[in-house]
Amino acid sequence: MTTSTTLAAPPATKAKSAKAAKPPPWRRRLDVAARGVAAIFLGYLFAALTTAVLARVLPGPRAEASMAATLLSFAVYASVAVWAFADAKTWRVWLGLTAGSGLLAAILWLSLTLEPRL
Amino acid sequence: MNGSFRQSMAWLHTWTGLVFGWVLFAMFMTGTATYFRPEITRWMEPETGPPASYGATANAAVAHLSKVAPKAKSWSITLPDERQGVTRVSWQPERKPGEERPRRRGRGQNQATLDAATGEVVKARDTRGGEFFYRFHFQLHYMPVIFGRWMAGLCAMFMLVAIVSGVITHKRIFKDFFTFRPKKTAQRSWLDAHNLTAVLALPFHAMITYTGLVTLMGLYMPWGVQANYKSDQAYFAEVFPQSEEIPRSGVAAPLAPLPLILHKASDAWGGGRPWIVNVSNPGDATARVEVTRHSGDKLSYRGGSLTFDGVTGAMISESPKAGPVNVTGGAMYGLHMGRFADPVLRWFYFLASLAGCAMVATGLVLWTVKRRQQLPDPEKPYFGFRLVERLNIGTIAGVPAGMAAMLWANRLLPVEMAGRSAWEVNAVFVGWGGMILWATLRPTRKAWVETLSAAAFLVAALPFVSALTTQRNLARSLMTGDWAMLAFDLTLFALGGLLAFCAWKAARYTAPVKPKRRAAKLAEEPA
Amino acid sequence: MIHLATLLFAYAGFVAICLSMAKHQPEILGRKLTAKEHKQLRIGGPLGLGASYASAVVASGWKFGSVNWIGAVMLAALSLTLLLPYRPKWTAPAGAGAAFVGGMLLASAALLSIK
Repeated sequence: MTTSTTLAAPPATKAKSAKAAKPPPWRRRLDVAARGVAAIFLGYLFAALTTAVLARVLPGPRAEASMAATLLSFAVYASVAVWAFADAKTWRVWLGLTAGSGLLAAILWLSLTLEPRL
Repeated sequence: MNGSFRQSMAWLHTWTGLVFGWVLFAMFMTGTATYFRPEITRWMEPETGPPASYGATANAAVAHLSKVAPKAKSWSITLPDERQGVTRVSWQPERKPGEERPRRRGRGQNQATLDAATGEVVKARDTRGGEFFYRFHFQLHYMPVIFGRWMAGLCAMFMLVAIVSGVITHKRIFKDFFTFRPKKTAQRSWLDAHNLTAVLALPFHAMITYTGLVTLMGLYMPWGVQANYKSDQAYFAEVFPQSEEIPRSGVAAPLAPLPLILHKASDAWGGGRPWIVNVSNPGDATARVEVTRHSGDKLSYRGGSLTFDGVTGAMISESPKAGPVNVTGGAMYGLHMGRFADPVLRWFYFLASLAGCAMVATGLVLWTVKRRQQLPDPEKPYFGFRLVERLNIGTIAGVPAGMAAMLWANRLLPVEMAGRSAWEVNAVFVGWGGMILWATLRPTRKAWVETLSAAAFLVAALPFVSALTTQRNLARSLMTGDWAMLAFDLTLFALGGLLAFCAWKAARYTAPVKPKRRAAKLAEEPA
Repeated sequence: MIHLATLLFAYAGFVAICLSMAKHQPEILGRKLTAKEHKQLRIGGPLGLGASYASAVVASGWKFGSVNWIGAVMLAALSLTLLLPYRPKWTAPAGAGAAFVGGMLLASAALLSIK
């Protein structure tokens, strides 16, 4: 993306301030949008599934496990959102979150079939 | 993203902070005010008296309810405490056969406000009081409640991410711990101020943001419960079991004296305070009295409740003890609400929360300060810059101005006016919106000075407005020893002074000596 | 009263920590610390914060005390940071004074409770 910034940057005076003042080119915007969608929506899906799976697998009474999983959920969501913007590769974020959610969904499904809800 | 981890975190911090910064500022401001919710309500209901202990009024509440709703399905009595001078009573009429579930309890017809000292009905002016700021800070306004709560939750999540990425971005968090250089360059000073308010109150900011999400976790993250229970009802039935509804027997029986029951409850809690009393089937042999413990008694917001036989006054059951994790959840809720705080700690809460407002405000200003020096043409900034700048001015000065406008409306609108409380609320947004409009019409520095001065005036003049229009004034509060209302007026002066100070700083701001020729343009910036 | 001791000890502790940082020594003292002084302050900082926490717990129990303490710590750090750029020379004597007054408050509270 750095290359496209320099490529698209017009005169030299503006190139200096391109980082903040100039609207970034479309590739960078697309990248930010992709990460934003991954962080907000896939991140929520992932956090929700983590919460559900944790609520199933944590030991102790069910009400306690549910509460523990829920209290942790926002930390999971925030961490995932931070990672979505920290990772160098956007595709890795998408792949990681999709695959992770798939795996969690499978565990949840298995857990629900083995032992139905109260 | 591109560049180092820290760079991408700096980017994330900048933009998560900006996108919802203005809403977050409003949420922080109204949330800060909410630490004094009972006091604000008292101020806005000047017809009500000073706080009282709970014991005195129980009989008066029962007498009133027996008169107006003897055959009610249930009564609810919220007792006064050391911060609130009224007893609020409400009742639910018996459901007629075939009638659907009763409507949600609200400030509807079936309620009354009683003076704690005399037990007489108080006709307070129609106002939402401190309740509005409380509601706004997590569900906003002019939109469906659930939508507003999701919006507030999204803002809180952005805030959480901004906190995490901000801590990562801040390279010298320990080295710069005590650093504030007000006389350095604008960007340096603003950054210091932002770091200062963020780092020193970081435990508070992190706590308040996370626990804020926890208070509405049932809405935001229901999946932990859904994974284990077929329905919310199944979950609540386990965690907060409710005694079954007993139909009226039709055998009349007098209610046991309520003060006696309250005394028993207080003893059972080792001196804890009763707060809400629910009487089901009053006047019947099957009457039950449920006494809920005051939310400020323990760190955990959920103090639990006791159920008594309404005729004999004997204790029947106790709400079950929650497990350690649920207690932790309750404590997180309690930490957010701060109801347990004694006056000293409540002021700490208030100050830390004000630091949070300052953190958001300085962060917003920093966005423009950083970019102003890089503007290709500082005379004509691009649209996005102008938008951010105007919204910053209009919001940082506008939210306090709007909140003050609500208090002005509370004093100036005719008491008998229809839709009075709704217009009080509209005044908030007229004030805020007016400031944004003002900010768009004036040059930057003038806009800062004028809006901040206007906000300072609106806040600091309130004690005078109150003294001219009602019985609530400084001298009377002092003579009657009403310290809370005295402190309220003095706090308004202090906050007005703070805003005036900001306006003064903005007015006398001179460009710092910068080696670059851009320095002259910096004069436009506020300080 | 012990609330105040909590705040004062926290302030004193932060002054010690601040003084043990090389960048703040010239502005507060006008000189660098000797190695021995530096060592003493390195101990004094945590000691002050520890005394602050202890007084908070004694006053309000470990649950409420911990919350009170965090509030006091934030306020103490804030007041030091705001005092520093405007009156740097006052910070150190104020720290010593705070420790002394805090100690007296705690001592008088202890004496009262024995009686």
